[in-house]
Amino acid sequence: MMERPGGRLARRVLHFFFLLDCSGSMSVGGKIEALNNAIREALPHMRRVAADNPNAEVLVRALSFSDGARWVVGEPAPVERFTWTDVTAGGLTDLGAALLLMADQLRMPPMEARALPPVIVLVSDGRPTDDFEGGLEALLREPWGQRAVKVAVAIGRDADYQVLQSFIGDPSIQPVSAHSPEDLVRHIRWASTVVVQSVSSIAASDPEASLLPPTPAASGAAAAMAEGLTW
Amino acid sequence: VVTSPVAAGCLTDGIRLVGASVRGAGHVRSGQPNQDALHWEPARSESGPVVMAVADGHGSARSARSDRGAALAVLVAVSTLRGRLSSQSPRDVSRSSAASLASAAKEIASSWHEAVLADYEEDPLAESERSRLMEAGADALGEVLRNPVVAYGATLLAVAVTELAIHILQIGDGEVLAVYGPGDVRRPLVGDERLLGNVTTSLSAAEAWRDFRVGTINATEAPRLIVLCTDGYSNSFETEDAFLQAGEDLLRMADSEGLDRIAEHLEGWLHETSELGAGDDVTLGLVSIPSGRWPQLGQVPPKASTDGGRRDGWLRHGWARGPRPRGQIALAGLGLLLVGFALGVWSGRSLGGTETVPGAWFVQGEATVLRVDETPPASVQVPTTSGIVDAAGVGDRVWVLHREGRVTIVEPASGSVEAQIEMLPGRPTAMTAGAGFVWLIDEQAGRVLRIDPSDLSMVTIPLDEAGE
Repeated sequence: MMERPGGRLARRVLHFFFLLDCSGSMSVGGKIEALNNAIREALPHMRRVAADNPNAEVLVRALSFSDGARWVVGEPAPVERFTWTDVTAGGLTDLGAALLLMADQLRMPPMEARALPPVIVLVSDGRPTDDFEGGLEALLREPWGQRAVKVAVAIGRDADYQVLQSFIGDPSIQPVSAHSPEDLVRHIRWASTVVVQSVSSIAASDPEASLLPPTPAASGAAAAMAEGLTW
Repeated sequence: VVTSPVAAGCLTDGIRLVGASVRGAGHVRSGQPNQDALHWEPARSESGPVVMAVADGHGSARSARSDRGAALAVLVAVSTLRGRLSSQSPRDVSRSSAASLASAAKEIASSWHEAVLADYEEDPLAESERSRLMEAGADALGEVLRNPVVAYGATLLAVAVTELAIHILQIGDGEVLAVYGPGDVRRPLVGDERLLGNVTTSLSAAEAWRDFRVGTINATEAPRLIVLCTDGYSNSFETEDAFLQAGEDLLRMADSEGLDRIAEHLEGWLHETSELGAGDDVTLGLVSIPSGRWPQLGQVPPKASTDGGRRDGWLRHGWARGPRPRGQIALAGLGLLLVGFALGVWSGRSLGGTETVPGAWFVQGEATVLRVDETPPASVQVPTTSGIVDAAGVGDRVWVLHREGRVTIVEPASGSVEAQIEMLPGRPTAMTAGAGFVWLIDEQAGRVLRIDPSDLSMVTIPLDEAGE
């Protein structure tokens, strides 16, 4: 029997990033508790989606920002082994600093050209207090920063939708709004499952084709308006 | 067309072809067909060019018929290249292979568009296809109804081997490797930085031929093996080196066991590759070229790479036409290069000498220019801070265009800079010499700069006046 040519085979890696606002305002109205709960609740669903595609390896990281930015989970963790440790709220909203850290991780190397497009899920309830534009510029200088599928969850009415839209970078995708813990659970689960499933599909796209994640089934804003706002 | 799990070999004029295409593990799970295609001609030993083509249908929601698009792509490519290259003369190869390839790319893209529209006309969308497109959302059905070509979107790679040269064309992702020996695996085409993630350029684009990358390897620099594969193969390896290793291994196996043995195992290997790797459809085609195939031209040994497989340093390669993608640093402006060839001269008036050195100059890497003529290639290191974009021979000097828009005039024997023209207006992207002048094109600004080498005087000509 002849040996198969070439070196080691491997699944394609999908890097998934939670980018979380842990500023002081997140401590108001139980938002930070709801965020911790939403992520914890989403993980089993995310693992199930990942298991459905044995040719993609989902690696998860989490980055928080308040007074500066720091990696909550800095080492890419296989989703099967990823566990969530609660984050706490307090301080400013230094989103720009977080985007600089993100840009470092999306550089090639450490990123590989054969990876699947990374997914970045930004969750925020306020407006940046530092140089957001500079951070975004650094992120978009990286080819993977441009190609990353970026989605944003706006918590409450004080979230800066314009900033979140700039982060997404595609006018046809809008931030999703969470006005209650239930909204947040639904949106985080959507980002962790539907978006991951879409990105890890083996279909190629030509440049004019849409790589957009599907819109969640219900608009958080509309649902919350109907049910009465929590945030 | 090979779209099912088939491996086969063919012998023609000393060149051997082997290839297989298998349905990916992901497509087996989802019940989708193999959307890759592979085809070659001739099927038996006979004279004339040998052409192999590989295509990869996008498989995205709106590309509902991309398996058919891929099959049509390989048929069109093989037929077009066989037809065009059958009558190629040595003069064509030495003077205008780039023109021929750019023109071939245009014909392939155009014929493919005609073929898919004919297919659509003959077989409009079935109800089941409409339903699937509607389920896909994002107005996929509307898009296809407005422009049926998008339903057939596919990439294409093709290699044509004639008695005089090897020609390679590619649009979209996938890989072409030229294997010379252990530690010497090269990529014969410039890279396309747009191809990252799942995004690819496509035959279905309106002016797809502009996205073709083309290259020619002279007979004297022929590799032992050419590997064509869809990205389902290359994406399945853990690292870049692991993928390049496949090229080396395949050549070693061909030498030690023979291509028939490779053909026996190929299908199994490709299934394993898809299952343990990316899960996509996998297609691999091999063109084995016997050593000493062109002894009459005098073998010039290929320059051995020193870093285990550097992929730069090719003889002629570039884009079929048009502006390159932002940030692309590869060999520039074949379109303009062709103007020089068409004018039939590389001499011009020299800045400091009237003796004309024959041959053409090409950029190799970031800071080297390479003279190519009947003698072994001569390379010259050129001082540069931003990298070299293009080069042109003018009399016995080489003019070098730097990325920041500066031109230096270099004495090739010593590599010393004899003169320089600081910061040309705009940002020229390509340069050539002809009709006694040096010409630079600035596509962004829509103009050509004409420099008189005798006094470095410059004239700006709008592109619409300069013509194509």
